[in-house]
Amino acid sequence: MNRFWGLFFLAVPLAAFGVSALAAWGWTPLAGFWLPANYSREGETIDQLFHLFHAVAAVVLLGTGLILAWSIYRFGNRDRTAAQYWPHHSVLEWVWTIIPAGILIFLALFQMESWNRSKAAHPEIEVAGQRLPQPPLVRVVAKRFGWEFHHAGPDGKLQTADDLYVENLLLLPAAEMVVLQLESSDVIHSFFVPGLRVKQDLVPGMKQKMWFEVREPVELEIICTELCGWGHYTMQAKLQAVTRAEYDRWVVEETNRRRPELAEVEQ
Amino acid sequence: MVGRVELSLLSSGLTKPVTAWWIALGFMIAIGGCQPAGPAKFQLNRVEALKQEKLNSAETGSIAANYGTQIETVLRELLGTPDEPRWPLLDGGDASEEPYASFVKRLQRTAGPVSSDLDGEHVGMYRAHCAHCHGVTGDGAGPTATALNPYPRDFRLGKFKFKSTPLRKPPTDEDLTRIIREGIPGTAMPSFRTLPDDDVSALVDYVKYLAMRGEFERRLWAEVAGLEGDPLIDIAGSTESATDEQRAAFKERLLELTEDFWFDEVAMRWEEPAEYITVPPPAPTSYAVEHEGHQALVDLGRQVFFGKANCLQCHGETGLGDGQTANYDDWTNEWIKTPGVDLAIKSTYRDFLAAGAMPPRPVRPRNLRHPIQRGGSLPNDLYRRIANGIEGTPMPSSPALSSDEIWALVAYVKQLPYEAK
Repeated sequence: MNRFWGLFFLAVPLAAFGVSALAAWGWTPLAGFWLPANYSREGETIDQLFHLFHAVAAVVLLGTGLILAWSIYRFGNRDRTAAQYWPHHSVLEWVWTIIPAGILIFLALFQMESWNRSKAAHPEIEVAGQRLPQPPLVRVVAKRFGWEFHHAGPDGKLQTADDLYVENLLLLPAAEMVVLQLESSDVIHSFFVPGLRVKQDLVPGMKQKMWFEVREPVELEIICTELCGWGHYTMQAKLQAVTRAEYDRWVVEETNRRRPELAEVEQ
Repeated sequence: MVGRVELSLLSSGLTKPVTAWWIALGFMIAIGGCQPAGPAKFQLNRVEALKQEKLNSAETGSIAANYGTQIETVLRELLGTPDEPRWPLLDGGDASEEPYASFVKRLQRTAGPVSSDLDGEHVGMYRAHCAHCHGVTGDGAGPTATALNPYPRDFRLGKFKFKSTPLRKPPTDEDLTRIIREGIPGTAMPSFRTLPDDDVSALVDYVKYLAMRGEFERRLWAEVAGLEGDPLIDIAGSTESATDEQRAAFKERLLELTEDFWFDEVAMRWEEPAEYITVPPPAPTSYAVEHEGHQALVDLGRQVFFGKANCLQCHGETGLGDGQTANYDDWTNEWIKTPGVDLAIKSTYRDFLAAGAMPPRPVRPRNLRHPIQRGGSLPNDLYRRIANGIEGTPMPSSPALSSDEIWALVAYVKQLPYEAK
């Protein structure tokens, strides 16, 4: 029976390793089971980190799984003698503390630059020789159950009379850094664009900032990844990245649409 | 340093009978699911039945009990079921003719249980996206309805608030499409922008189907209230064992009802609403914010707001929507105006709640200090809502205002959210 359980537990790490190895790379039949194609600049680095973390985890899973399976197979309670129990073993404990700690510290340091770029270093713009934080282009307000996108109007400022409000459609210029201001109007939501590898929880009462660069014009999916109530699954929106020229044209068109037709000027 | 400790085997959980029962129950739920059994059914408008019964107090016995099955039969024969909707055809019409055939096909694709085929064509969109709030019957009483404020729309009155047509005219297809695509900000109605255009227009047709079906049913209830015990229709004629005579009488009566109520009243009302669209006249040039006379226009708007149009009565002096707040909308007024109902005493209307009426809630006048309005924030939307009023709500139409006064009001309301304190 021990042989059976040993082999059984061997199958788990092998299957997990096999499936994740197959899914991690693009040329396998399972490709695309992880994340959809990436369209953000920072996303490339994030994908590389994802694969690295994944590879480390796979090696650890396989290693510990093999040890477990072999132990069951070899040392199982075959002739019903009592097992041996070590309450303490200094060398062993040093080894299994130092190695994982080393791996974790390496990963923490290795991803720090990417974390800094995507979460800490707010993009800056130069105004009259001064470097100022780039103002947000769109105010994203999550609600149960939908997304409000308040695009800055021609004045480039948010929360003014010329804001362009659209529900469930986020229009953005591609090939440049954009900053979003994220808010929630009721409960905790989470703004997730799988195609851009960005995700941010929205907490009522807080104004979060998020920035990224969409590499090229593309249409992507926005979803909520924080269970927010019965309609959570309906919180889907469209992100449409267009060229800067098209974006500017859209702002003008939408602004004009929000104005009524005026009477002819009397001469 | 090395000690030997005896380890006893953990007693196996599986040997305990209680654990085994839990696992068996888990399997049963996993295999059987917890779906309600049986096909979906249109619910009768029992609130309307009860109202008619109370209005015609001389009538003996319950109208719902006397006529429920007959009305159900008429509706099923004429308009089908939630799984297989039908559309009445003029006598002598050909069901295989276009555009009738493809229209009915679209209704049937929108109805029924949810699924998609391999090409990604969706079936049962109404139940996928709408029914959990608006209900399978379109009665605005889906499972999530009571948790929402405002309540989801009950289509059966055939009244829609946000439209480009005047009061008592139905909305155009564009109006309904816009509500589905853009949602209603400030309510639980979300934007279905990610749906394909084809699905949205099919849903528009289905919403109209439910609205017209509801109007037709209400008309039948009003009819039977005056019949004083005579049958509306001999339902024996719809059964297998009916004689030829009964069957012919049944068909004839059904045809009569279809012509009198469906074609002459309901379908007539829904014909070509686009002909009645209110087209706002061009705004005065001073409407443009850059114009030097803009402030004068806003001031005129303020005067109209506080004077002639008396907006402050409901929207309040500050525009916060805190004026008159004790009014109800038509969907509630429908039954709370029935003699004998007193909202202060719950026992006077408990029977209405049991019949499916939503617990009454006063309708709130809009807070105009919020920059985004429910029925669209474009100047033309605001113009239409001031000129035409809002169907089903205490917001009246304003025939006494000139178009310049309405534009002045629009300009005033548009700047309210940003007005300096």
